[in-house]
Amino acid sequence: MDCKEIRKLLISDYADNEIGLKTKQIIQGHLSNCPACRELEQKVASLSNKLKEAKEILPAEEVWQKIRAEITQPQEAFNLLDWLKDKLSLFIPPKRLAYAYAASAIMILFVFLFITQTRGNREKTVENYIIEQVEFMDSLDAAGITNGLYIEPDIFS
Amino acid sequence: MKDIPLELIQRAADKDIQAFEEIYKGCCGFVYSVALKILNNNQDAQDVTQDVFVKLYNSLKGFNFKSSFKTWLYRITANSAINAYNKRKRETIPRVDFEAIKDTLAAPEKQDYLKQENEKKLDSMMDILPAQQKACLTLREIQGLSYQEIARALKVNKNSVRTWLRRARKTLIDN
Ligand SMILES: [Zn+2]
Repeated sequence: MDCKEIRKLLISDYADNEIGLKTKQIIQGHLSNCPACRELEQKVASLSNKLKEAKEILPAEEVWQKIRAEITQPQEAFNLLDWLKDKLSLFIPPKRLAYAYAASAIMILFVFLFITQTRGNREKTVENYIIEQVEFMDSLDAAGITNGLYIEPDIFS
Repeated sequence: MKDIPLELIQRAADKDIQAFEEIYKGCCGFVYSVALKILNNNQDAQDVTQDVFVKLYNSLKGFNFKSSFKTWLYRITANSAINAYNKRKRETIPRVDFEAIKDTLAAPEKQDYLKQENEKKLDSMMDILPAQQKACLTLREIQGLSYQEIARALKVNKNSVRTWLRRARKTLIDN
């Protein structure tokens, strides 16, 4: 291995202990003969130490209060959406239901905005909303949250 | 992050708020710290923390007990923080409030001054990295996750993790 390959490993696999014993020994052999690569190894180690020094920080007390308030909100009032959800979930798998909700929410929004807003305003709001909605669905998907439960679109909340 | 007993997760899934508060206490440091490293802004990191735990609470019922709770939390946290970062980038120029971050730390002592200055410098350097690179570096260096675990959390392959870590370190070392 030449310096270039060694340096690549020094800032990834070697630093992160994701390397086989044999390669590790080759690198260590190289390091004992090459001051330039040794210097890089030390820089990587010092960066790592600096990052590790940053201790875990706790969020402010009020964050839990806000979470608690949000998850314990009473939901007694009759909610058309919940009612529909119950009825619909008999027929449609939950994951697809989430998308169906997003789609219908977007449609309702379009109609609403069409009636109430001027053209320029309308486009801006719709664009922002759609970006947000798609991102929201994306993040749920990425988080695996849409598996096995249904999701309320946040437009009505 | 502390290990969360399965029994606690089950109780929280059954809407036991006290059990959920225990989970919060065990993991909020992790969630907030990762969000803070990625967003470099106290208020945004608090918003992400709130968001993550509300999502968590609402979806505990669907939690598949075969998969690891930690992996799952890594994933929601990293994704929420990256999403918030990208959204902010699209909407405004990046804002940095080091002072607010430092306010949440313990009162500074004189001998800690140099260390704090170094931390500030590192924070502002990290701020120039793309969100994914920051997430990789934080999960690797601060939380000690393996490439495989980071790949799972970010839903990418191991090679992307390797490449992002290389780029992040190169930028931080060269600057
Ligand atoms: Zn060399």
